[in-house]
Amino acid sequence: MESTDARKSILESIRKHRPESSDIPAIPDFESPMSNIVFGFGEVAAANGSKVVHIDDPDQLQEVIKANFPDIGPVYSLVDQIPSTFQLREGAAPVDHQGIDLAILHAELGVAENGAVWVSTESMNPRILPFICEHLVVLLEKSSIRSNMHEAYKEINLKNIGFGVFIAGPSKTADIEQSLVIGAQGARSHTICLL
Amino acid sequence: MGSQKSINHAAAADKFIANESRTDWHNASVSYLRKKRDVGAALVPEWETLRSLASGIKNNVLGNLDQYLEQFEKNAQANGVQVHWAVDAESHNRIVTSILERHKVKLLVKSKSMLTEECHLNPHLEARGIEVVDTDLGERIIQMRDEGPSHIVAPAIHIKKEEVGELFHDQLQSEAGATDPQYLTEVARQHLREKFLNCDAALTGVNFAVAETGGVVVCTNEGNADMGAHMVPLQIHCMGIEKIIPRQQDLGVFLRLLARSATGQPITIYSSHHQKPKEGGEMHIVIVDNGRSKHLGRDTFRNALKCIRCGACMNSCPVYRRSGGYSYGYTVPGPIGSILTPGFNLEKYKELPFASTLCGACSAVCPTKINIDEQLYKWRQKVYEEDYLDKTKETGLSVAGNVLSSAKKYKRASALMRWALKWMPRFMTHNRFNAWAKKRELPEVPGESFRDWYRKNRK
Repeated sequence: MESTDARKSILESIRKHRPESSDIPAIPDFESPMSNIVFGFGEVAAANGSKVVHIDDPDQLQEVIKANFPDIGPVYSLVDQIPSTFQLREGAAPVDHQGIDLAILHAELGVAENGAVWVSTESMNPRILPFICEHLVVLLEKSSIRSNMHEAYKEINLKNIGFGVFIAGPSKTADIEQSLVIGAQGARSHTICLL
Repeated sequence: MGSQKSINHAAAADKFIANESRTDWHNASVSYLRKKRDVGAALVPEWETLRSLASGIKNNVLGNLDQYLEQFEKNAQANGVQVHWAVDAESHNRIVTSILERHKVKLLVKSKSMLTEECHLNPHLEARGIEVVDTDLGERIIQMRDEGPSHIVAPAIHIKKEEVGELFHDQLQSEAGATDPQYLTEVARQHLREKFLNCDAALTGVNFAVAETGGVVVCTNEGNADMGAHMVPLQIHCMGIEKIIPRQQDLGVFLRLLARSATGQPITIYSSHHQKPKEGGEMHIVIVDNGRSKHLGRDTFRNALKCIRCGACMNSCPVYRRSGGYSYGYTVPGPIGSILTPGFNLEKYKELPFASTLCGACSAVCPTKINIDEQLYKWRQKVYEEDYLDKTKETGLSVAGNVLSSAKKYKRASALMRWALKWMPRFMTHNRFNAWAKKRELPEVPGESFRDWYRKNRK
């Protein structure tokens, strides 16, 4: 009941104190400063610490994995071309995904201005997957790259998903004396296969 | 109110600057963040337009906050989220405790949240036998040292790698004498992974809460918020009422500004949109007022509620950079802290509006265009009006006010000053009554006044 009373008193206090309303601004379209957003996406992603690989056919994924992760351990794949080798028990909990060396999933969108990819519960389960794995590979179609965040949000409907995340590179930190360290709590590497 | 001891910024800063090379190092570290911000902002042609949009959206939020909160609650509940309301820090802590106790939680992992720092949630939970582990590396370091954050984005920016090495050696059995950030981060990764795998609940702060979708957005570079929130069925997100933004599309504006303003990155590594609880899980959102709605009623100062906690103002502040976060005596230090705190308790934080040169660097970089320097100046007036002004400041200022209000008096006084500063013995200027002269030398005094010089040199 504490919360119900609090709700009432907070809203009342806001009504008593709020300023006069002003119009909400319309957000215009912004032209990209990049002449080629696919190329630009690759540049920014690389600057973020991502590895960008170009492929012409999804079947080339096998080779990419072999070449880039020659000694990889258990793989968890949500992509048809790559089989999963990570064993999961029936009704596995998120915590049971500890031990995945490489996770491979579809990215739904790419954003050229910041090199981020969008993955959501539309294409990914469980939610812990891109974080708990040691290494992450995402498959992204070039046609799914948008110039900036405004354009990306036009393609997303948050109301339809349980969870979604922009991932802009490998997990990193600079909390010790501003020194950049890759591989803080999440994936140690982030590879984007551009199709 | 008024029972607590006032924060003495100058005295606290004195301690911080006692070690000069360390002060220089801190100044350089924080300045580096500001420089990276400038590079990041310059790459966006519409940067200033984005700042205006952000400011406009936040103005609209402040004028309709009650409706947006209600809309947010309705949509969140439709998503299966349980929404709680807390008027103050104590009630926030009680709500979180009751959720955790209902689930018999023994270990809570927490990602960075200035709100839970503000509410002192950790000691509250620890007193009830719940172990709390802060999972952001910087936050974990200060938690192990039993300290609070000294910066809102880089909480351990004041600590040297040698000290982290010693700390980890003592508490995590890492190699003695280790100072390599890569190695130390790996030690923390292993330590925290074990905590993630064994926790019973996860709690995060909130960067943005979207009224239109009923979801919250949490931004991190390490992925620690996600490692917790997705690992266990129970996830809790705590937010201040001012975190609301109206529409999904507004996220485009704020996510473009936030990381660039904070560290110069185009976006944080992870921008997580939590909409619904996971299958078989529970998602709770705690909405906290704790003085914010009252602050909304202060015409001159309400803009401070537009803050998105990027830290650009403190990175730009010559006083923060050389006095350190702890000298402010509050969770949110620097210029933004100095305009928020007097609203909570004017007597306790009366010194903070004076911990500024009024140079305006903070306002120039603020992504939501908060008029921080103007507010600092106006809080000073409030401190005077409410009779909290330090007596030495008051005497000096009233003499200055008298002299500066009359051209004749000023002319006479400045001639006298030029003479005095030239011939006065050093102890007259450099003594304990003149705080200004600490660590400062006076410039050489010119033989004539500017007025005389101008008259002579005007053709």
